[in-house]
Amino acid sequence: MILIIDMSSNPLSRWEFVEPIRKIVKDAGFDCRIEHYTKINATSIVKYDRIILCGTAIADNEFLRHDFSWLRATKKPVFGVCAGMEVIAKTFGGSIVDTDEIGMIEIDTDDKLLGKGKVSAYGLHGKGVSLPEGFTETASNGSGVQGMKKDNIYAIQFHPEVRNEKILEKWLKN
Amino acid sequence: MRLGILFSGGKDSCFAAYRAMEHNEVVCLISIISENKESYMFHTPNIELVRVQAQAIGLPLVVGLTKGEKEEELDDLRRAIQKARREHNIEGIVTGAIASVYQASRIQKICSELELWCFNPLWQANQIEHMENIVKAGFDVVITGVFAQPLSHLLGKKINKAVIEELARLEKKHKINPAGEGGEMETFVLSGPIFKKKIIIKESDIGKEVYQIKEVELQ
Repeated sequence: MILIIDMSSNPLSRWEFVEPIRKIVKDAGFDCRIEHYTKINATSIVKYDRIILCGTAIADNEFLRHDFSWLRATKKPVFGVCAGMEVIAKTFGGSIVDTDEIGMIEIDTDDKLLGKGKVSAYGLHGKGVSLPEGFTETASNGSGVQGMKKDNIYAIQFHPEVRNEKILEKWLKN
Repeated sequence: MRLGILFSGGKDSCFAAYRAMEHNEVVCLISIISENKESYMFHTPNIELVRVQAQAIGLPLVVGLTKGEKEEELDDLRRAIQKARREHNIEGIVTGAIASVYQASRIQKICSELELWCFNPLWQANQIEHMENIVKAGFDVVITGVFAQPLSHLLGKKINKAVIEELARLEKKHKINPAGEGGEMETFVLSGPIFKKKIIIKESDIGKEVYQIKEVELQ
């Protein structure tokens, strides 16, 4: 069972940032459950095999005020998308920086999930991250870190639900 | 949150408004009327009838006019959104974008510059499921434009189960976007759960590509 975490502060954003992720998970053949980030703690995640932290609207930064320290303790595979990557970075000691990208962008990567060379991706964010200590950068471009990983944690700044569904499918089946 | 709907009068913007009304306060509709029939962003048949739809829905309409020249029409959109903010104190915009990165990212940029929220509640939706949801919700939708040959027999038809099945068949055979997201089809909504009154077509003219609604009344 996959846990999909809704990072939005306005329920209208769920259709845009959570539902497309749910569709990819379902189409890949996995059962899933959606929970809001405010309802998650170290105990509530026990029953899940994997965890996905979704993105949210550019104007939405409410999630950055929340404590995600359960991320430090879990050994379960975690995948962060955009806002999800930002909370992962913040929780592990990285910082949140102002950098905006909207629309199709090009990233440089050499990673078994993301591909090799220049990859086209959909960026939609007003903030980015600095790489936390112990993380490896898996993708980047002129605007900053586009992907990072450490042990069981994988995160990307761009949105795989737009033209890069295969990245999430590969992670689910990996 | 007080929201304005970027409104073309078609099924997608009406359904986006319906979703927005679940948890937010929709305070106005915003329509761009383009003189350019080839507009990438805004042109749709019967666009002038958005005034009647706004009346039927019971929401104020903010109209922006544009000559429809490629990037200038985005300035016209920005001005219309700013007007909506001035007049109705909106905090965000809702669009009916499903898959077009071209449209969605341009509107996202405008909202970001104006420090407004941007919501796209149909984003990446399965287009057949989306059409089924529209019918299930009770929207009465007529196909008013067909710009891909395999769809020509659907002009003027109401979207129902049989039409959706036909669109699904055409999707498999001709790789069209069944919800018309690629510009294959335009629609006009006559009534539905967000409407206080129904629009009744009194006179219309069916051409090769466009079903022109000439006279309507509210009931």
